[in-house]
Amino acid sequence: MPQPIEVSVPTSEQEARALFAAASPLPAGGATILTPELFSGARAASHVMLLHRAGLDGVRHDTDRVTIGAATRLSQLGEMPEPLRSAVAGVADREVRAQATVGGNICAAPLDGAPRGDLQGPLLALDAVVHWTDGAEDHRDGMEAFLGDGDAGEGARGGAARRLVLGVEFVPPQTGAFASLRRPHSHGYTALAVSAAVMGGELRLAATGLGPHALRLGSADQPLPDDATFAGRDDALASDWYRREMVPVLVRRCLEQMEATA
Amino acid sequence: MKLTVNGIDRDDLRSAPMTPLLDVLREELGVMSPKPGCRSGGCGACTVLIDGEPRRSCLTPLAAVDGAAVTTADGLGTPEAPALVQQAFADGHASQCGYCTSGMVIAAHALVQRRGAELTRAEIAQELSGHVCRCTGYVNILAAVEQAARA
Amino acid sequence: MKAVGASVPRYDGIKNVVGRALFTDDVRPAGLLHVRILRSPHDSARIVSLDVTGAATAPGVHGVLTAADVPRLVVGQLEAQGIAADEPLLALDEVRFRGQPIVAVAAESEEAAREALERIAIEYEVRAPFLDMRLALDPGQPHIVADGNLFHYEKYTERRVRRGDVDRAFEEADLIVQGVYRPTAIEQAPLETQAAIAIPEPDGRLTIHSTTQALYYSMAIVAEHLQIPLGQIKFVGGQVGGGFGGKVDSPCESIAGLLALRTGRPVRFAHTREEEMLCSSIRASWHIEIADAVSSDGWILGRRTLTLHDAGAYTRLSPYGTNKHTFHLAGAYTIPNVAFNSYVVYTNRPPSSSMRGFGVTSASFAIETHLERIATELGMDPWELRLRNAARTGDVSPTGGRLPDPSAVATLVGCAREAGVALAPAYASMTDDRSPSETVPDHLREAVLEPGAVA
Repeated sequence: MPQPIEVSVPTSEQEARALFAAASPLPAGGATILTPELFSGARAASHVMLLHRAGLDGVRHDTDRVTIGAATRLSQLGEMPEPLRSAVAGVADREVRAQATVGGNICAAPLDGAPRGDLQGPLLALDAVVHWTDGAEDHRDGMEAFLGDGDAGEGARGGAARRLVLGVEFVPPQTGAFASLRRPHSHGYTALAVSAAVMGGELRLAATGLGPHALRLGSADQPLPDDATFAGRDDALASDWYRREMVPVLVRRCLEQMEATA
Repeated sequence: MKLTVNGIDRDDLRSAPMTPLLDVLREELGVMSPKPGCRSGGCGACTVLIDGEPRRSCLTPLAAVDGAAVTTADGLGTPEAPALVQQAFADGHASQCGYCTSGMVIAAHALVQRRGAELTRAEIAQELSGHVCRCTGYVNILAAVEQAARA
Repeated sequence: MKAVGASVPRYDGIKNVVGRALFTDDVRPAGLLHVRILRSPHDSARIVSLDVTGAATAPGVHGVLTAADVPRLVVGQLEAQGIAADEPLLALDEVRFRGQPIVAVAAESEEAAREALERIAIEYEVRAPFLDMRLALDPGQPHIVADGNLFHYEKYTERRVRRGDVDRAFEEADLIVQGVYRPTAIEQAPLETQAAIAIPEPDGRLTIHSTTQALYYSMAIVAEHLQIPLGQIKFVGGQVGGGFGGKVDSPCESIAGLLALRTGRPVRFAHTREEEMLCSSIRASWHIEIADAVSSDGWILGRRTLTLHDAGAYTRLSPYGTNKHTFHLAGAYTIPNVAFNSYVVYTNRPPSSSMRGFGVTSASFAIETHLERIATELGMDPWELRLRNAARTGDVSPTGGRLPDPSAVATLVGCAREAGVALAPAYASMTDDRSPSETVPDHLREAVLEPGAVA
């Protein structure tokens, strides 16, 4: 018969770090993705660390930056600048947002190559920095490096290569906007969403839905990467053609929103 | 690990710590009103109250709710003394096959408790958008929740 | 007669809302075993070899079922109508669709059953799949069944309806309007997935709790698979968590029943949501071509159709659904000259089956969309086009029956009223009966009653 999964519930950040360094358990925030996957056998784990009591939650607003603990529930985020505010509001429903965490969202492993972390795009547009530890030392990576470093999902990384995300931080943008294809709650991911943020006078665009994780877009005039570096994505929710057609439309909606609020 | 389920203390649970609360309730404790509709948080048929807050029991591991008080649809009311929303659902034909109803009445109950008479039809639709019903077409459900909110 | 005219509370209304309704998969007899299924990962393949000994000796496993263990492997849903059975309960020497069940394992837990499946040794010879029904008549396509990709209605490869002189209608037409309509496949998606719990009784009988929508129909299918008398089976059901036609085929009952008899233990087989979506029966996709011979004043003189129905890998209820489709291809209208051809096409997709008016809904979608197209081409009001051609009391349908109460005019006029559409007085005053003052055009003379005659 199958072996039961060992579960640890650390009660401080220090305890979580020590446990992660010693045993490299699979970290889980709200466990909203992990729980059904372990139950169905879609994913295996020998040791899981639940972070809801580790003190890794909370939002700090300093004069120049916003810092969000990894185990902060989406419902705890409070006032957030665009594009993050709208992206958070669009995640699942109230019940799931009250359980799912920011850290879990950015680490969510793709499902059949589809992205499930709706916050990856906004945080990429906001040029957020992810604070994480490999157990031995701490790292601070920009979202692009964090997502691009192999697979974003900690679940897809084998034992020692796992990352324990501690938090994310970003500088509030001058302005920002989020535009998305309508996402029925029962869909596992957003078929396509564009996030825009103006940071230090520069427009940063990012999209979720085009690949297994969020992707930085080019300029507003030419948002999509060239075909050589961009495979595109065809799936049940939308065709590659439709996505390519809709990216500029969503970019335009973002620009219009930003103009309207400027 | 332990839970208080519908007011009854359930100590020394045997279920493994990562077992979804849904399966602890159904398979260990025999509380069958939460339903496994999609098992991925998409339908809301498994919603229960955890310390008064509606949550998807299929997404929640036992270890995350150790010691919590859980209320399910069959703990919310009885055939003789249904809760306010339950009576409104029955009166307004807001349940057809009944499969989504357990989760629906839990979410509706929490919503009415939270917002009461201030609830508008649009807000009810927004707040219950994560709960899928394949039979009634929602009109009666929205009306029943509105009626309960006004009562 | 206390209930007639009175508002009566639903007998199960309170039970449902207080979470006391007992659904099939809420039944938990002591010693329950759980089933998981080895399913085909291929659209089409020959099974070269199969060895289940690893699963049979896996921890927690009490029973393993293969095609060889089924008393009557191939049972059809339309055998009573003389249509031959073709679908095995478990695949024998080939798989024809992805998700087709091959081996069933009953174990102490779903997890143990799932792990046991990993120990089954199976070798496939993968074949090129046939997935696009529009290629059914092309040479060189893979054959699903020995003689091709078409179901045979006795000696015909298609269901035909012929009436009147369709060639003449097309010669006399002012306009020929053509269209192609392709309603896609739909999963019924009930919130409760299909499940069965089979309990061997001490007296040798078998009790099966089932999510079926068609209790006695499913019971008869189980009796055939198990080759036991109906009197030995007791079905418990009725509290169905949504069906919409998707719970007629009953994929769990016979497997749970056989494993219960084999193990002597209660056996539960409940589809996961993935199984329900990927391998349970669906509403078929259709390809419908319509050509109508139309007069410039808005009469439909004749209609030719060609329909392809995607049956998926096995027959199930497809010939029946396609019959209904073909018989309804004139819709709510009287068209005196018709030639309808409808093919039931086998493909390597999951078998399609019943869902809410299957066959008729696809015809209605195509016809009503086509009428909009005709109205546009004629520059005619689509309400007037519909009312002009609507079937009237006593009209003859394409299959030769006199319509005693077609209700088409009453429905259309009622819809216009509800939609706030103002019809011209001549149309607003129409009734289902042809009034003596109406002029019957020549092409309808043989299809309608003399004004004043009784249908």
